[in-house]
Amino acid sequence: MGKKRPIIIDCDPGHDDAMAILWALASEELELRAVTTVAGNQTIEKVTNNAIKVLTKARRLDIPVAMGAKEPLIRKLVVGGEVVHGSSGLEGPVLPECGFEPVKMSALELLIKTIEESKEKITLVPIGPMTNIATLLIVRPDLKEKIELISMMGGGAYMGNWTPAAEYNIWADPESAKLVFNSGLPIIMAGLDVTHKAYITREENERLRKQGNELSVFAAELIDYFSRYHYEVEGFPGCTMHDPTAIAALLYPEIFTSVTCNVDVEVTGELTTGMTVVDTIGYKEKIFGEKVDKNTTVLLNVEREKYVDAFFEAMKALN
Amino acid sequence: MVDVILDIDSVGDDILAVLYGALHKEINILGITTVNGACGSIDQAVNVALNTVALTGKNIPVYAGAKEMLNPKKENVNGDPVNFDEELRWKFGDRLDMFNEKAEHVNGNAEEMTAVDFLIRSFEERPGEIVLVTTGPVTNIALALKKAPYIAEKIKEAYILGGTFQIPGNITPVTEYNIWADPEAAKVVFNSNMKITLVPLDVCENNTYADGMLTRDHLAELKSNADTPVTRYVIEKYPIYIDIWREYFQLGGFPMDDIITLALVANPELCEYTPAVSVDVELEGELSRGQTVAFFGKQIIKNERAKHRNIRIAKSLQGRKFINLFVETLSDK
Repeated sequence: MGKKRPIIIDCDPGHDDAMAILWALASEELELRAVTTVAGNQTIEKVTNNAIKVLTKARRLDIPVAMGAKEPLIRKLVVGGEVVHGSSGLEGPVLPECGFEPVKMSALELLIKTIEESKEKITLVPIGPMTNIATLLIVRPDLKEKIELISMMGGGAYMGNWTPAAEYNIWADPESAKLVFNSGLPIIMAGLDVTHKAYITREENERLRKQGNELSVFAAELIDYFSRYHYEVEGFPGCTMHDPTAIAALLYPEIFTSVTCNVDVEVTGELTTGMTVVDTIGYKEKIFGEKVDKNTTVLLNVEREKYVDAFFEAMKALN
Repeated sequence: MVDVILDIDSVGDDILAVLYGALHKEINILGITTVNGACGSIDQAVNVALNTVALTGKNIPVYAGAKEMLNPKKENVNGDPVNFDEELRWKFGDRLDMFNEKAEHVNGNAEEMTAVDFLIRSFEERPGEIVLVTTGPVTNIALALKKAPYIAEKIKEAYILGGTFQIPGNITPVTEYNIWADPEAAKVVFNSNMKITLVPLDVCENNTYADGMLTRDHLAELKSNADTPVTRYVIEKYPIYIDIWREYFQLGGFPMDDIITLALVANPELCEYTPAVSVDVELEGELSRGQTVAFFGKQIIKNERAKHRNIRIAKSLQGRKFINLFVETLSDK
């Protein structure tokens, strides 16, 4: 067992955010140094409470949580999760009261402090709108040197879930996303191309519930609520594990297929704003002679059953 | 027999579409309207059309259409495609001269009537009877709609080659050439009341359907099948097309976009289709101008424009069947 990879999860919980946090806590390869929150699936107050409640449920009162951006960099906040995540942002399972308070600093300050104090480079895992991360890169570009990589959930090469072209996390704050993709930092993108393939069926979820430990049952209940939208509106074969995929990509890179290419974000489209433009073939260079950075490893497919098994094992390991 | 007006921009696969349409027993081409697109000028578009019709020995009138796109001042931020001649020249030498070669004006003349007037007159005179097939930018169609909006409902149906949804574009990462070249025109056409079958790159230039692309094997088949001006022409001219698309675009062969689009008119069973949906075109996007956006209704926010459901999108081409049909038709058996 080598050294643990230190990570910060920047999130807007959210059922799938909650499961991403739990997976990170369960892993022996990851060390969750901090959780920062951003308005997205719900308002900043609600998602911050939810993050604390999830950590309380997992009895990890030691993880610092800081409240981050209450609105996108430039645009107005459009809360994304009312239909999917319910009015609290984390409807469904019974949640404990908050077991601790957020730290007395902003998400930006906690990001800076955690990165500065770390001996090793930090891996950032943004799984909501990327407002906090963009702000960090604007305010402290020097800290890029201490960022190992960014494993994010958002976007999609050929599909959207908020509009036909755009996925919510990118759509909600496209300017921030554009800034992060063009930052020069290496990025792993878990977009809809792969997250739609990382699903858990109803039968599998019963297997998870039967594992019996408190947090397996909790995860199964998160999936019960979260998957309603996937079945009823999107017509999918199971619960789509969007955010946990950004964690899985760090733990099990071998179960994913991917392409490394340029990704940019459309910010001026009438119909397409918030879309990730994924240049898998390199047309920009091929046809227009424009040199572009292969800035992103875009995940395209996953060995689903291995993914599901790994997630279930992680939930079982949590006490 | 299906009566068709074919609107083309006169490059490699347009030529094959004209040959296919002229020789297919169930397709009757009433006229060919031309548009400046991939071929570079309207004169080239017209001359190629005339020369191609002459090869078939048929009497199909050719009409000159739009010289430029609807909104030519709006520069595409990506600029114009670079001349990729250098790399190709290094690979293919003088054979490259046969790729989109300049067409001399040697075979007859275009009609005096403009393409736009021919379109309007045809659909006016025979409402509900004529199918429109477009294989280039849809500039002529948009101009006809602006002049006579009522023809949208008089067109029996339109088969339009354009757009891309779930595979990379062929001109930018998210756009297909025909729509990219004149997105304003495509927007006018898609938002009209025309009943449209859209044939996107997803079925034409996806290696999943590589068995529907033209290879040297098919040229060899043509050669053993027949010896006509048409087969001689195709056998001589198309190896370079096959090579360019294989070497440069990493496709299984020369993609038959235009011919597939026309073939569906007589053989709609070659593809499957989505239910009728709304398709719109992005005009303002810095990175995505010319992108086709389809509203399937699986997204969270609802959009008023999604209610205009006039377009079905072709999918799942039966490539082998199609290419056999192509070889048979060109062999004129």
